[in-house]
Amino acid sequence: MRYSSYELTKLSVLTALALALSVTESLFFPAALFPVPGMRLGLVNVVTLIAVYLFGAVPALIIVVLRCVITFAFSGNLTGFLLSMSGGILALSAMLLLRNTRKLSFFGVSMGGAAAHNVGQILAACLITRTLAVISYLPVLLIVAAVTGFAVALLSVPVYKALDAMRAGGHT
Amino acid sequence: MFSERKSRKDQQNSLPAPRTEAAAAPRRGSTGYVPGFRFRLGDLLILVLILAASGMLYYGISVSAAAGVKDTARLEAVLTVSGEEVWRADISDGAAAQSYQVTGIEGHLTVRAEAGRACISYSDCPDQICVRTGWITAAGQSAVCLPNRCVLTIEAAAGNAGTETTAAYDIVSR
Repeated sequence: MRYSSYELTKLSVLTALALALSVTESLFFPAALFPVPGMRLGLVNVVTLIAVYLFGAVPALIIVVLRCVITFAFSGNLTGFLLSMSGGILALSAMLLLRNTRKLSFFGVSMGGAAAHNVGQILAACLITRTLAVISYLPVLLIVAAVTGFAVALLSVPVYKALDAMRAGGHT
Repeated sequence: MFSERKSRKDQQNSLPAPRTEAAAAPRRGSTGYVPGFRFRLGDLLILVLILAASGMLYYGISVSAAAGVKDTARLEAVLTVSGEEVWRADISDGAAAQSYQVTGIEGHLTVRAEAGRACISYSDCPDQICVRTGWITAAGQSAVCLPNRCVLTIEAAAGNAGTETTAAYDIVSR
């Protein structure tokens, strides 16, 4: 698989955008308003969603893995790395599966991806602590995921349209 | 008819033909999908599915946690580190306040248990989600410190359980 330098640059910019978004969303809950571990807006999924629709499976996978690894390299938080990795990979798989059914719009794919993200995080937490007690957070997280998935899709629509317009102007 | 129009256009202006038609074709890896505010039936299905899964999980968890409690006054707080139980305290009405300290991966972690409630009072972890969870009171609730691999849960005291004994959660089997 060979990428032109232009495609590589676009992937790099998207990865940097994902990193910036993950830092930004951690600023939204400074005091962790909810005591549920991993309750986030999921703004990173904006980049994952756009990459899934515009670039395909493999570039999106590269972006997800890279942002998790780089975040871990900067923060040194191993549990955070494991949680975000499992959440991101599951979210990416869910988005790809849902996109290929072609029965869902942007919003459905995003909600399914957010739900899968939270399921992946809880799964990783269960494996880390070796108990099933963490599953008690999942009902609340799933409802939050439905809402944040919708918000993420709302945010992604203008970005997608802008990138699509770039493509229509011949820049791809 | 179309060829006539094209030749006339080429004669009139020397600009090249617009590239939009060829460039708008779906490129590698994309589905050629343009999003908008048009929802499909699948969206509603996904939403209903997520809410239903959430409701079923909540029901399953609360039922499996309450199934082990016959006498609601006899509850215990259990602290597990990486899946192994290290401390168990009685938190039924009138129990004395106790605290216990473990050393996890990130540092120290202190739990407190009083009559009717328990909490993680101190932890060396960076995010402090466990401490912010505060007091937990009902069977099935838990306070989790992921960096330290510690889970503090409330369950039925041994000898008070229904069909389950010390297995904390067994949602699949009864």
